[in-house]
Order: sequence, then structure tokens, then C-alpha cells
Amino acid sequence: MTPTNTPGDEDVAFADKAPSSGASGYGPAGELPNDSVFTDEVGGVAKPPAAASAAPTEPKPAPPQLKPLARATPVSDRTRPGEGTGARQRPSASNPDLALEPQRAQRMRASSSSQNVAIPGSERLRARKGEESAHEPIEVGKTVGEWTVRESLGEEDGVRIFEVERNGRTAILREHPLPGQAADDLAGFAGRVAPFRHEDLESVHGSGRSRLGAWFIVDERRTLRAAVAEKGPLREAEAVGLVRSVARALAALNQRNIIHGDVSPRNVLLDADGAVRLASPLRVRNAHAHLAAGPITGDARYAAPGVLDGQAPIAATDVFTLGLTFAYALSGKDPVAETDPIAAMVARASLPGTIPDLRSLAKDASQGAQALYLRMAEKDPTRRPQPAELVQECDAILTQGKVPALLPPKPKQSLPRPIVPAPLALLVAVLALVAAVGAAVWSLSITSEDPIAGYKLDVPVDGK
Amino acid sequence: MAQQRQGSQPAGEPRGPRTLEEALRAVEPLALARGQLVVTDGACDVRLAVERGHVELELLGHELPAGLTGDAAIIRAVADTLFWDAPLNDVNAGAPRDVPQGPKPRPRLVAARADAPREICRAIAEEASKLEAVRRRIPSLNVTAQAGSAASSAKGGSPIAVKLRGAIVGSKELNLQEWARAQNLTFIDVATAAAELVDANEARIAKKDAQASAGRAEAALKSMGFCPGLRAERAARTFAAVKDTKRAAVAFVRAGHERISANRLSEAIEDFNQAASLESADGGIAAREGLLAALEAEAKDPRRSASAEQRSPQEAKKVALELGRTYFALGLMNRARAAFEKALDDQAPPDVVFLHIEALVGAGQVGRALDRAEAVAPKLDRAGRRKLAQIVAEGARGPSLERALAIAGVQSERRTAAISLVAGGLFGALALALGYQGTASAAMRDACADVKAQLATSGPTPELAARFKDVASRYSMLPVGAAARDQARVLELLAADRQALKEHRGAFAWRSSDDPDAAHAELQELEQVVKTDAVRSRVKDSIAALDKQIQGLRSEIALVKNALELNDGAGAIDAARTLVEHYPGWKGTWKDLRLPVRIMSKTDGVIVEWNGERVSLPTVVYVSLGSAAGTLRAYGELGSGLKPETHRYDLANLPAEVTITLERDPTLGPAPDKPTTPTTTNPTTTTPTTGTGTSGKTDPKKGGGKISIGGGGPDATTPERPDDENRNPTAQTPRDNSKLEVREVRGADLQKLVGGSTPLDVQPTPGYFDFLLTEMPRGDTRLRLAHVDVVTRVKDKKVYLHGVRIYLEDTTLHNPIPVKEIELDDDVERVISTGSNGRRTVAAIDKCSDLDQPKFKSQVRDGLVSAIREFNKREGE
Repeated sequence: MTPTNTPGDEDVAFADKAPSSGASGYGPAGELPNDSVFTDEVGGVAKPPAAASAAPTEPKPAPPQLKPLARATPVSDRTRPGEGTGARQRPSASNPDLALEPQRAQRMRASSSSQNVAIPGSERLRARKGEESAHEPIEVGKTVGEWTVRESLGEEDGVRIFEVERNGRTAILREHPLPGQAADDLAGFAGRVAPFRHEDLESVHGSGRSRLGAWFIVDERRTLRAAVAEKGPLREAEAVGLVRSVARALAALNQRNIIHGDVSPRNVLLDADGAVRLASPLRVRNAHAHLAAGPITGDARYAAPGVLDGQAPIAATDVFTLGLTFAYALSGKDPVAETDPIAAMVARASLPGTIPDLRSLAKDASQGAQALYLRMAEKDPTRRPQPAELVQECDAILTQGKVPALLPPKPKQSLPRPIVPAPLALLVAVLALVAAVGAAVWSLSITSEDPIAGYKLDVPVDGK
Repeated sequence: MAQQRQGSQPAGEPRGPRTLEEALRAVEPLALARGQLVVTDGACDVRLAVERGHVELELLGHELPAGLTGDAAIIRAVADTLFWDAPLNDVNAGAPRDVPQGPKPRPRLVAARADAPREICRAIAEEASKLEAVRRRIPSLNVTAQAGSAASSAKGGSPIAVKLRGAIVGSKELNLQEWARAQNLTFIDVATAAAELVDANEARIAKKDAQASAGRAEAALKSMGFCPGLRAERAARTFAAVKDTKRAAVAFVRAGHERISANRLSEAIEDFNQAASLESADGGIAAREGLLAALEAEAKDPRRSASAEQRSPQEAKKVALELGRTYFALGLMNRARAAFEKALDDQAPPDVVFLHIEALVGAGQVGRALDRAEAVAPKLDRAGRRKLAQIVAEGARGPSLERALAIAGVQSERRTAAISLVAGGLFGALALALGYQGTASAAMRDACADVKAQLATSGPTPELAARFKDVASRYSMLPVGAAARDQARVLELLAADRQALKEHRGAFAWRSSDDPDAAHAELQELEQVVKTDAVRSRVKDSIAALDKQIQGLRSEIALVKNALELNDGAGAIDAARTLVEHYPGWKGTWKDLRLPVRIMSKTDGVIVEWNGERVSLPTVVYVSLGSAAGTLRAYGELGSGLKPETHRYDLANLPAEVTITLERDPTLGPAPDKPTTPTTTNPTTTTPTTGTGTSGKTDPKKGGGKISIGGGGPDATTPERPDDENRNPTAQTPRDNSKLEVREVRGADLQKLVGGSTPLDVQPTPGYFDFLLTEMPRGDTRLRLAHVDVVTRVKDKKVYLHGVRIYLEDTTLHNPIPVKEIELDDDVERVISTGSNGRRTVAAIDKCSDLDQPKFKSQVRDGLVSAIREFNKREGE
């Protein structure tokens, strides 16, 4: 076991701070102080719509499901347009874990079995045996960093889950079985994400390599899916608040050039007090589907069109997925019923705009919720709001009941056409030429004899 | 022992062993190196690993037969699989797959001796052979057994049969497999007992337990056992058997991927094909993706079979194309692009290329799409290029959009269209203008025809001009309009001139005018009045002719007067005769001239009366030219015997001198001494040197000589006179055989200049210029060569030929034609010779020795030709 960074108490809210070199910089994990505080918070205190209508000029109490924020400085003031939204390298199709950084993705691609001839089982076994000597396995009773493995909770989608304990406090250890390089990448990425603190983002208490792959420790929380399954869909204000919290977390991640990749209900976590947190991007895994053009990152039922198409996730794809998660929070229904990733991809692709109609999922959805949903689920990623804009729109809905304005339809590109098609214009020209020639011939063929030329008045000159 | 696998199996496809016997035959040779046989029913696996001198049995989800050890246990454990629920066999070379140990250790047996693999494999096969009869009755223990009709009363049998019969009777229905596991009995024992009961009609097989089979399928997908692909395939076949095609497809896909990772590509391809043939929730995408991956892996596999050598590339392209179309239809452009790129080659049809390009655009790879489109575009027609450009332009911006537009040729098409439209507009405008011009020309043509017709009948009138004015007003902007205006103006001028001519018609008849000066003045006034040059020219010509005529008149009068001054009575009479003949109308100018006539008598005693007045002889009487007539009466005294004579004279026969010689009439008186005969001599007259040759005719001049009254005087006749009175009358009449009149100067005129009293004649040269007639246009009677004047000069008392003047005449329209004058470079002397009669004669032209005759004729001919050309040119204008 090689535990890496293990920050202190998670209760220290806003423990992360952006690098002093600039908001867009994302240096090594060691450069980030563990107990630093964010200076780029997005949104601020959310106001419930009822309070806004009652006393618009007075400070509004925070919605019950949201934690109050220390400062409310719009992230858009410091975020360059399009930052963090560029195309990214794709992780390997064979790797279930998402590569969230270009360098990491490159390494994972290099180690991808889909890029090479399949390794026979015996060779793979021998390769695995070589790694076994370097890392300890995760087993009940063993100590991982400062945490003691108390109990194996089984597997969840190929991830081994353990309960760990430290100083009487329990947490969850997630071990991702991965090949060597991919496991190194995930452990490295976990080391960089672990110091990152945000009240709307799940904290990572520790990470490292194990014999089977890589692990990290997070608090145990209910997922949105579990909460909805237990208590039913959220109220609209709660759902908008959920979007606001997740958007704030996304904005913070984007400022550090991190794309989450799967903002689906399984990665939206709810505290016992109702506070919403976005699960750590370490949890994000590719769907189990063998697709040559690229894997589907995250839950295929919630993936953005570009991600379904095998392209790397970008900031806008997180917003799209958040839109579908919003619909799920309102309705308790998945966008499509299929659970198989490829079947879900096909079902999603068959929907108009790849999204279901919100009204078909949640009949009572308000106009504001409908508009917010359509804004986030725009097919064109460039037309989706940035997370910071999304926070503002959520605030506007919660405090003023303002319906987000939808962008006008994108005009269809069409080739410029001449006033008259060239062949027709040529025909007109030829006909005109023929007419001109005909008229010229006709005109020139008409000759008139000068009636006076041969005429002379009879003037006798002989004097007779 | 021919247990058939469930599910469809492609015919002729090499596959794993279908039966346990086949599997054993396949695994036995693997003992030379390493290999294993795996049998699974979805939930339980048996693995028999063989190696040189080593056999290892391992069970998963199943227990070893109770009470057996060593080889027997191994044989029985493997033979038990014959009665499993649809077991699948797999034989694989190489080391066994490492399966992690669970919480409970797996049952495991090892036989280590040199012949263990061969002996054990054959023993299992023999055991299976022995069980063939049992298997016919009980194919699988996964069946429900019910009590037979004899079950309740049956007794005896093997212990297991008794136990089984009791269980069946007790429970009515019994799953044999579950009962065997519960009783920890081997499947062979239970199957044998069940067969025994069935034979004794104590039990019967009710149905196959599908529920238990499905449960094993579910279990097969959870834990992958010794051979994951085999387990997945087992599950897939179970799902397919219960018509759960969607889950079967998923399981087949999983089996395929497991076999790809195990590098068992042929089996993987078969699994994916099975999956693709089933209805699935993903539309067969997962199956095609897997099939494509397997085919590609097989194409790269150096150990691929000969059939795969031919199959894989084409099959892979076909599958990729199907996959690409599926993705494209779903709007998954990036995946469609990737699939198309695997399917496309140089022979790809255009529609697929279009799809690929559209997929590239949809995937955001506009640059590649443009490259591809630019490569394809030259092979397409206009519509295809436009469609292609429309596809590419969807995702293009800036320079990329320009490239997309260039593919469609939008710029060139717009340019072509613009140029064509402009050209069409210009040509159209030109056509309209020319059409308008044509219409105007047609109107002008009609107007000209009408005007010409009316002009020929009624002459120019203001009404005719109005016809052109109408055309001019309608087409004022066109040249035709201007031409019509000009015609109208000319017609108006002509009409005005016509009116003026009509008013001054009398002035032109100046020959018959009493007062040529008044006529001249009127003509001059008319010249100022007329408005057209043609008429003015004609008026000028008329004035010029009048002037010339007046000048000739004065010249003639001067000649008469000169002759009178020179006492040349005969000459005066001749001149007067010419004067009267030429200018009869202008009597006022010459009527006062008086011609002297000398009257003499050779007869004595003659009494002469002139116009009734008696005159004494000799005398001279004067005859007024205005009434140039007189009566001469001569008679003798009464009784003189002279025969009286009376002669009536007029200008035609007026002599300059009359000598009276009266004959005697014997009846009247005595005869005279010597009869007198009147004689007429005129020394001043000469015989014409040339002329008509009418020697027998009376010379017109003869009348101007002396006459003798009473004798046979010549009968004076009037000779032909040319218009030009300045010409030598003796040289102006052509000979009979000549065609062209050649006129020479009058000899008398020359005489004045040359001097001398001896009359001077000019020898004519008739016919000399007849060669000119051949130069005249044939068939054209309008132009006539009137005559040729010889220009003679006198210098130092010598006569020179200076040149000739050619007179052409317009016989049709009487337009004046300028005289063509041809001058010699150097004057040629015409020798004056003196004849035997003492008269001087100027040599004819053809007698001029110094004259280069051919050259002279050539000059004259050229001059004539030039004159004709000038005439034609003028007429053309």
C-alpha cells in the first residue's frame, strides 16, 4: 500500500484554495495547501422563490438543502471564456476508469489493451504477478494509511468496497481493480484531487495503490438515486438547488481544468441534512461497453450526445448530464429504461435531441424548470450555459422565479445560391444572344431605297 | 453419447468439441504439452487439466463423488457431467486460467504418473460408453420425475432406486438434479436409478425443468468459472432457448469478448455472429462492434486459418459498413466515422463516401471532411458537388467554409450566373434595340416606297414630307428617325423648289425669249430662291448655257459686223445666216443689222427695182436682218427685148453680189451682141476640206457667194449646223463612215490670229477618235459621247495642237457633265500648207508628224475613261 495525501478533517469547509498563479493553473497536488480556502466561490447564498417574492430587498435565508457560503464571488469574473472546455484525449476503451487529464489519458491509451493485440491469460497473469510484489492487497484487518480496513462491503460495478475506520470515524474505501499504469494514473489523479476542498464536492481523505489497482477513501453518503428510490422525487426548489450546488462544484473543478465526466444520479450525493455534494471525479468510470470509437464515460443513460458518440467529456457535457440528473431528481425516472450501456446509447440517440421531454417525465414541472432543463440539455455544447452561468440562473429561479431565456434556434447553414442558377442564367444569356443576332440580321436585312436619290426636278437648261 | 449443443450452430464451422467423447479425444494429445478440458452447465464447472505425467481435476460449484478416490473419483466426476443440464465442453491448450480462490477451497484431485492422462481419458470415454443406454432414457438430470403407475406397489431394486422411488412417491414431483445434490449422490448413480425406475414404469420424466436451467444461466453470468467464454455462451444458449433473445444477445456478446481476450478469435466471431442474428435492445451494435474487433484481430493474427485469410478483411469491411450506417442513422457521427474509416477503400461507392464525410463533419473533423470532399468532388456532377458542399458547410467556418463553397463551385457559379445575367441583359437590350431599329427600318422602308411611288407620279409635295415626319417622330431616338427627318427636309426643299420652278418656268425658255437679259436676270433671281443644290446647279447650268448662248450671239454678231467692216459681204451674209439660224428667238439683238448686196448688171439698159424701188446700177442695197427679204426685179426698157426677171431673196438665198444678165427674148426685142450668163464666184469660200462628203449637195456657204441672176444659180440649201457656232463649220460634220464628230476651230478664226489675207482652212480628222466609242459602257444608252473638240493654239503665227476636249452627254436625265479636257505635255505643231489653189490648210491631226499618235490616243482614251468614272461616281453619290 502506498497511501498518498490524506488531508485533515473534512469539516473544514472551503479548505481548498486556488493557486496564486491564477485561476486556470492546476499545479501538482503538493502545491495545494490542504487547508486552503477557495477564493473563487460561485453563486453564494441561494434564495428560495417564496422569500424572494415576499421581500426582494432583504437578505434571504438559505434554502434548507444548501449550505451557506462564506463569499459569493461569481466565478465567471475570473474564468476565461471556453476555459477548460476544450477537446480532451480519450481514455482507453478497455479501461473502466475515466482519464480526466490529458497526460493521464495518454498514458492510459498507451497501456490500453484495445491498442494492442490481446494478451493471453497466462501472460497477463505473469504481468499481474510482477505487480503483486510491489503493492499490498486490500484485506480486512489491514491498515491503509491511517485507516484500518474493517469490513468488506462487496463489489459495486467492479469496484471493491470496504469500510475503514480511523479514530472512531468510519469511511468508505473504494478499490478500483486496474492494470498497473492505469492504477498509477488513478492513484496520481487521486493525489491531486484529494487536497481539493469545496463544500459542494465530495472530499477524498486518502488514496494510494494496491495490488489490484488503486484506492481512495471517501465518506459514506447516499446517492441521489438511492435517496429518490427511498423518498421519491425531489421538490422543484430542491431539484433546482441541487443543480445549483452541483454547478458550483463543476465551476470550481473547471477552474482547475478538471472535468468531472459523470454527473449522473449515482454521483450526486446527499448528506443526512440534505446538503448536496458532487461525488469525486475519482469515482467516474467508463461504461462497460466495447466500442471501437471510444468508450462512454459514465452512465450512458445520462451521457451527453458527444460522450455517447465516443468523444471525450468536456465541461459542457457535465452540464448536459446535470440537466438529465435534474430531470431525474424531479421525476425519479431515468431518461431511458435500458440499463445496458449500448442499449441505453441507442435509446438515447433515438430520442429527439437525445433527451426525453421533461413534461413526459415530470408532468408538474414548472416553466422555469422546463427552461432550465432545456438550457442544460442543449444538443450543441456551445449553447449550454457555463456552470457559473447556471448558478446564476438557478439563483434567479430560486429568488425571483425568473425563467431562463432559451436561445433562439440555430439557423441552418445553407450554401449561398445565385439569384438565378448558373445554367438558367447561361440559357437566358444564350437566348438573349440569339435574339440579338436575329434582331440584328432582321434589322440589317431591311433596306430602304432613297426615294429622292434618283429623283431630280425637271429644270431645262437648253433654254427651250 | 451424442449430446447435441443447444442453439444454432453454423454448418461446417470448426468449433470446439460437441460431446464429451470428442473433448476427451481432443484433450488427450494435449498432455504432451499442456491443456485442459472444461465442462460447464452454467453454475458448475469441471476442469480436467492434463500435462505430461500429470492429471488434475478441479471442480467449481460441485463436489467430488462421495466414497471415491484417485482415478475413480476423477473418472466419475467427469462422467457425471454427461447428466448435467446441457453441459458445454471446451478444450484449450496452454496453462489453466488462474481463478482466485473463494472463501472455500475448491475440490481438487491429482493423478501423477506417466500414463495418467491417456489412461484417465480413455477410462472416462469407456465409462461414457457404458452409460449410453442410461443416457437414452435420462439425457439430463435437470428434469422433473413423477411417479409411474407401478410406483406405489413397486418393491425391490437397487438401493438408490428404492430411495429415489420413495422420494418421487413422497413428493409427487422431483427434480433429479437437485435431489442428487441434496443426497450427495453422483449424477451417474441417480441417472442409473432413474432409468431403472423408468424401465419398471415406476417413474416417468414429466418435463425438463426450464426454471432451473434459467437459474443456471443467471449464475453463469455472475461468476465466470474456469472458462468465462464457455459460461457466457452457456448462458446465452439458455436465454435463447427460452426466447429471451435480448439477454441471449448480450450473453453472446460477452462470450465473444471473453474469447477475444483469450485469443480464441474463431469462437469469438461465431459468438458475435450468433448475437447479431438475435434481436437485441441495442440493434445489434454490440454484436457488430465485437464482430468487427474479432475480425480485425483475426486479420492481424499470424496464426489465422486459411479461411480466415480470405474472410476477415472483406467481412470486417462489410460489418464496419453496416455498423457505420447504424451509427449514422442514430446520429452518432463520431462512431459512424470510425466505422466508415474501417469500411472505406478506394472502391467505396459515393453514397458511403458521402456518409463518411457527413460523419466527419458531425464528429467535428471538418478539416478531414474537407480533404476527403475535395478528393471526391472532381468525380461528382454539379448536384453531387453541391450536396457534398452542403454537408461540409454545415460545420465549417471561415476558411473552411470558403473551401466548402469552393467544392460546390458557389463562387464560380455565382460569377458565371452574374456574368451570364449581365450578358443576357445586354444581349436582351441589344435585341430590343435592334428589334426597335428593325421596326423603324421597316417603317422607313415602307415610307420610302410610298414616297418613291408618289414622287414618280405627283412629284415632291409637303404631304410626302409629312410621311417621313411621321416616321421621324415615332423613332426620333434612332438613326432612322434622323434619316427620316433628313428625307422630310429634303422633300420639303424639293417641294419648295418645285413650286419655285413652276413659278419661273418661263425663264428657262430663254431661247425663245425676246429679251435674254431679262431671262438671265430672272434665272439669277431663281438661283437665289431655290433651296436644293441640284436645282440650283441646274439653274446655274441654265444660266451658264444662257450666258454661253449670249456670248455666242455676240460673237456671231461680231462676225457679221467684222465681215461688214471688211466689206466681206458674202462672209457677212454667211455669218448673218448663221446668226439667224442659231438665235432666231433673239431677233431683237440682230434685227437691226443690215447686209449689203451689190447689184451689178452686165446687160445694158437694164432697169432694176429692189423692193419696188428702182435703183441705178451698180448699186448696193442693204437688207435688214430683221426682215432679210427683198425682191429684185430686172427688166429692160420696153421693147428692149430683154426678158424681165424677178427674184425673190431671203436670207437663205441672199447673195452678196448680184450680177444681172438679162436674156433677150426675140419676141420682145432685138438680140444683144453678146449674150450674158450670170456667174457666181466666191473667192473667199473654200471647198470644205472635210465634211460629210456630200459633194453633190449645196454647200451652205454657197448661198453667201455671188449669184448670177438669170443663169442657173446654185440651189442654196441649209446645211447642218452644230450647236457650237465657234466651230469650224467646214470641219464639224463627220464623214459618213465615221461615228464620232470631231470639231475643229474655224479657219477664219485662225486666220485672224495667224494673219495673212489668204484664207486658212483646218483640215479635219474625221473618225480619228472613233476608237473612243469602244470605251463607252456597252448597253448603257444613258451616257453618250457627244463629240470631241480639238483645241488649237496659235503662237508666233504657228498653229499648234494643244489638246482635246471630250463632251459626254446624259441622254436620260440631261445632267450636266463636265467637259473632260486632255492636254498634251508639249504642244504639237500643225503645219500650215498652201494648196494649189493658194489657200492655206492646217494639217489634220493624223498628219502631225511630231505627234506620238499611240500615246496621244492613249491619253485621250484614259481621259474618257476617267470622265466616265467620274460620272459614275457622281451618279453613285
